[in-house]
Amino acid sequence: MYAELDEGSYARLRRSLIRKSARGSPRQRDFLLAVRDTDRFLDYMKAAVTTRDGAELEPLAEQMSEAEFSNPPSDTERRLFEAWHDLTPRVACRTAFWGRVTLRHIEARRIESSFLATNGGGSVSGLKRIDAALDVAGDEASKSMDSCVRAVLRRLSGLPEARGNRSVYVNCPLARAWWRERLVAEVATAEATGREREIRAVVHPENQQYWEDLVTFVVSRNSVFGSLAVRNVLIRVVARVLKDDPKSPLRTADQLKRLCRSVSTVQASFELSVLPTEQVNEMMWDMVRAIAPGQVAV
Amino acid sequence: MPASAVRGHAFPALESGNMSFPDGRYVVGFEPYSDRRRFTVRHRIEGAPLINDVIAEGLAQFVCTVASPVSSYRVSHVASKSPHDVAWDEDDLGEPPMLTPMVVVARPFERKLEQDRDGVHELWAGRRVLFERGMRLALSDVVTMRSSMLNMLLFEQEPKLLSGEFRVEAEDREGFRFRVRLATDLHRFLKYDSGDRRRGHIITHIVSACLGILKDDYAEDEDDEGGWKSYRGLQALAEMLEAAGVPHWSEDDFSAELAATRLYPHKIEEPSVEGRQED
Repeated sequence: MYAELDEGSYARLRRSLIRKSARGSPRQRDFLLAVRDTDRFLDYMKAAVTTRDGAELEPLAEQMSEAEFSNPPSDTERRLFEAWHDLTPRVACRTAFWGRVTLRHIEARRIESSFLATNGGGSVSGLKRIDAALDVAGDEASKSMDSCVRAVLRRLSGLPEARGNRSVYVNCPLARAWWRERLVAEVATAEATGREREIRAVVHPENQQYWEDLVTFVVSRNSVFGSLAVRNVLIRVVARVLKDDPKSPLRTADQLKRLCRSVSTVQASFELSVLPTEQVNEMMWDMVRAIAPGQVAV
Repeated sequence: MPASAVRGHAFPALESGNMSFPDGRYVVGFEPYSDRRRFTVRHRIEGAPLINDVIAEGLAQFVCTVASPVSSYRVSHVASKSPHDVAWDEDDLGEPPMLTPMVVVARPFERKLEQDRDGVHELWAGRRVLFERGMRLALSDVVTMRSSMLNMLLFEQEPKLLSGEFRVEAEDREGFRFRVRLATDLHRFLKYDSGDRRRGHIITHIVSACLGILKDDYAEDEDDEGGWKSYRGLQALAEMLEAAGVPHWSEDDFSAELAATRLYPHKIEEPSVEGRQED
């Protein structure tokens, strides 16, 4: 077993920070003031949340810049997955686990705690964002503080209370890197060896929304893409389309969503996971052609 | 009855809300192995002769999918006979698995449907239907290996608590559970059901406390995909409350104690005649 944050106390902390009555409260202010300063943040977390003993995941060897942490480039994600390839999905889907891993990186000074507050695009530093949130007065104050607190919790581990199961996959940069590269490995192993680079174009897109939409279908309760067989074919086909036609409509999150919905519609009557791969492949290409005419199946 | 309730698909199917087989019933049984990582699944189709016939002819197969969406896992197990086993690796699952049994067309075939022979609704009678590979002829409800309120309680001894004390906290590790920390004597008392009626009262008290936590901390749903709705156990519990005729924790008139006592009412023994005389 790996070390992780105590689920109960960590969940209590998250809930106490995001409940309606906490918006703009001294509790949120104290939290953000702690996040501004790495030592103070570590003390804050130590006081609020206990750690369950277990093997500690080794942090990355090098320090990460704020931009690299908030939006790791593909090669960083690869290094990270290679270093942590022994993790199992059972562990890697847990908020408490990734909370501990991120804290370990802060303890080891691979990242500063203020990085947690940076926005997705990384255009505004975490420190600036915290200061801006603390400076706002009047009606907007509670909203801006609350938004900053939520951003920190999302980066730290994912925030399932507000964003559901997908949060750990999409909001925590370290977890997101692991899951993306795991998908690459999984799809590449299933009949697409050597095509990792084109698969990365799907699972590591420039557009975060694209990844979020894909994950929504992957982890959603009723999703067919949880089915490894169907999911692998979908990603492989989209990867090939994007490789052959970088300007394909399938590059946009909207069209990806449309394709996913088409698959869901078929799945309403058919159990795609039991069909031979070639048949699923053929169906997928038919659906792709409906969205991006002119694509040729490979 | 609207035709859509009978012909929701291009073929007759036995599933919840679909009246294609008016007398049809899909009965499923699960028997766990002792390690609870393998189950034997028994499928039985009643009142839908078409489905039983095509299974016997080898045109359809039994399938059971094992899923844990939280860890993006979903694998289908296919068998030509019932019962059959399904198994999984615990390392792949982030929560107790959801099992979905079904009957799926294995080889394409065409059939002109007859009401009496096939057990289909009259709207299907006389129609020639092409059954394609992969079509779901029967679909059971999803079975979660942990769905009732009591299965969400995780009892744990807490020696620091004084005799008779307990406290509850929510835990969303591997699905949603309530960790119930119990004083040593209470833990010993609750661990095994000795038939003592006080056990039921204590459980009701604990359930009430758990529901109170849901009201305090989970009532707000801030995202369609998020909040308590992302936990199947809580969804099942909300449905259970709805079926019992009481609101759930996101509704204004929710009362934790009423919901708890509706699910697990205090059973009061009628005093005996002698008892009444003594009173």
